[in-house]
Amino acid sequence: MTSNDALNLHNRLALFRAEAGLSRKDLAERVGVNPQTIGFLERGQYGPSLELGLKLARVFGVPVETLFSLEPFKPLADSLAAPRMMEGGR
Amino acid sequence: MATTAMFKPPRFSPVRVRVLSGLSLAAMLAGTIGPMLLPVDGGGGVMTITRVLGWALAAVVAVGSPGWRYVAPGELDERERSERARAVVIGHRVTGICICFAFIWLLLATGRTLWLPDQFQAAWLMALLFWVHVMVPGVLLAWRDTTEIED
Repeated sequence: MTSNDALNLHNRLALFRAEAGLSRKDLAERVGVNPQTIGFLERGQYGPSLELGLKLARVFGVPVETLFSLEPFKPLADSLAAPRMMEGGR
Repeated sequence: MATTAMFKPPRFSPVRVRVLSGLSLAAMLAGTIGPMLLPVDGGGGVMTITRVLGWALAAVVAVGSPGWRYVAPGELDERERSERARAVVIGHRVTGICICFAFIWLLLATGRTLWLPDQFQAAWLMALLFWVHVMVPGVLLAWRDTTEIED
């Protein structure tokens, strides 16, 4: 654990990276960090600085709170199923 | 104005740092503690070469890993800087505790029958402490850094 332990910081970095088809190395080069740091971020073992968080959000073109949250994110399956359930319930 | 570094230190892989530091520690312990426990001449050629080899490997580890040595701006990213700072603090504490124990032992041993090193043994022990102090941050970083298979 580092002094920047991200025990209460959740992120969707792996999801966004996979969707964008980027390797850890590609993403690391875009934000100027070591590829291992991307792995630490994705595993929640490191909480990024504000600057790095903003850089990551800019790569994916989303607000930083879409990528990082203090609350756990809902599972993707739940998010996708919710609109369908609403449609089916009409 | 841009400046160019006269010497750019190498950056060893975590595995290399682990192996070299292990060999260094083994050589230093054999050359320093060995003569105190076993009936061998600590000032002899073999033990001296063993100690010097351990010190040399420790110096190689210190230069090849961004722990104790100077780190140029931009050489490490923010996570690595954070981990390095933590490793240096731990190394500092370990050395401080060792010095404290040595001091307590010295106080207790004075005027009693407790073992005390002679002049040469004390020098070897000091050298051992110094080189361990130099290696600890780099070794901690090497064990912390996991070599990941990139996707």
